[in-house]
Amino acid sequence: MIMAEPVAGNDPAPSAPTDENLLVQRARRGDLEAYDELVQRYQERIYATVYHMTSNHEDANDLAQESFIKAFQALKSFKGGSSFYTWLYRIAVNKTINFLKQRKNRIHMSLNDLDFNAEHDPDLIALVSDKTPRREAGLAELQEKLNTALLKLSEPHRLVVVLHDVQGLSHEEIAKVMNCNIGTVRSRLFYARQQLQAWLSEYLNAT
Amino acid sequence: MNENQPNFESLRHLLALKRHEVPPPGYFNNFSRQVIMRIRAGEAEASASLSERLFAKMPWLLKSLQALETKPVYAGGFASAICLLLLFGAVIAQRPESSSQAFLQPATPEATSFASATPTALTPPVNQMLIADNSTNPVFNLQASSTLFSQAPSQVPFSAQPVSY
Repeated sequence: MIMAEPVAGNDPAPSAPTDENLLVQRARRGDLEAYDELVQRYQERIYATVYHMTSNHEDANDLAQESFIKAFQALKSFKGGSSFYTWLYRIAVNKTINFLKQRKNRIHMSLNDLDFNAEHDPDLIALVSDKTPRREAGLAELQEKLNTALLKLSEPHRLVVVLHDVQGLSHEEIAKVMNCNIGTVRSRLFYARQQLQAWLSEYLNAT
Repeated sequence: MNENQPNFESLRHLLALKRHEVPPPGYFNNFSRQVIMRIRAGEAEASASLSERLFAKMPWLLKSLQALETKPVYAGGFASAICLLLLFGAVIAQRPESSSQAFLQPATPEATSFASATPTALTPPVNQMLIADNSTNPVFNLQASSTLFSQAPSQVPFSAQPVSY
């Protein structure tokens, strides 16, 4: 199962907005069935973002749940200036960054397993080629090295990489979530990629 | 600062690996249910904590309630005190009404005949008494009944009428 399609410019909230607005209005009145539907709609993407930021399944589980709970409690303050999805994303991201700042020097990875499709992913097949210095490295080792490198990045830089290169959000959407301008998003993405490339050079193609 | 530089391609390929990291099977089947359960538990906790906060501010209230629960004598005494208090309140509530009726209807026939016989002589003391008693007794308005111009003041019989504000 793939958690998020990495399509640039992909609309993060593809469902009908009127339907979503109705659900949000019902949830604001305390209708938990409506909120349950909203949770089901966004649970995978919120979980995935938090998981890729923390590299820890248990932490991601707690933070994702707490983000949804906080969103429900704060639903009355949701003015509808942005989409519910962006607003929810912002809550999850802020909660995760606060959590990561608190556990600064206590990083413990608890990685999820790779799904069956990983071995057949064309991107990964292209990666493990003759030109890769460490081509004998298994996917599990690659996964660990990649997560270790991601955790070395600062939270804003990691967030940009996760949202863009893993989750597939556009620069505009990331700017809304992070409450900054698009130029900042682009520069952070460039810097983060440079850093990752330097740290993971022996696992990357020479081309 | 072009993000699509070719030298980032292999990094993007490697980052694709992240999308294959998935939680345990069936994880999302219970996710929303757990969220809703935690929301409900939080609401219940919030209502429970209200009483806890009240008892924290007034520990004597908690001790009193515990004493009432554990010792039936205290509960009986408390109930008796409440009943006495209610009875006392009922008696007090009836008292002002009876005193005003007593004022409106003179208790002795002598007083009635005296008032009708010498109204002018009575007027100053009665007015003074009413003014003096206004703060504690019902207010009464002494005035001639519909005879302001047709009859002489000395012939106008006084009548007391209750006035409520």
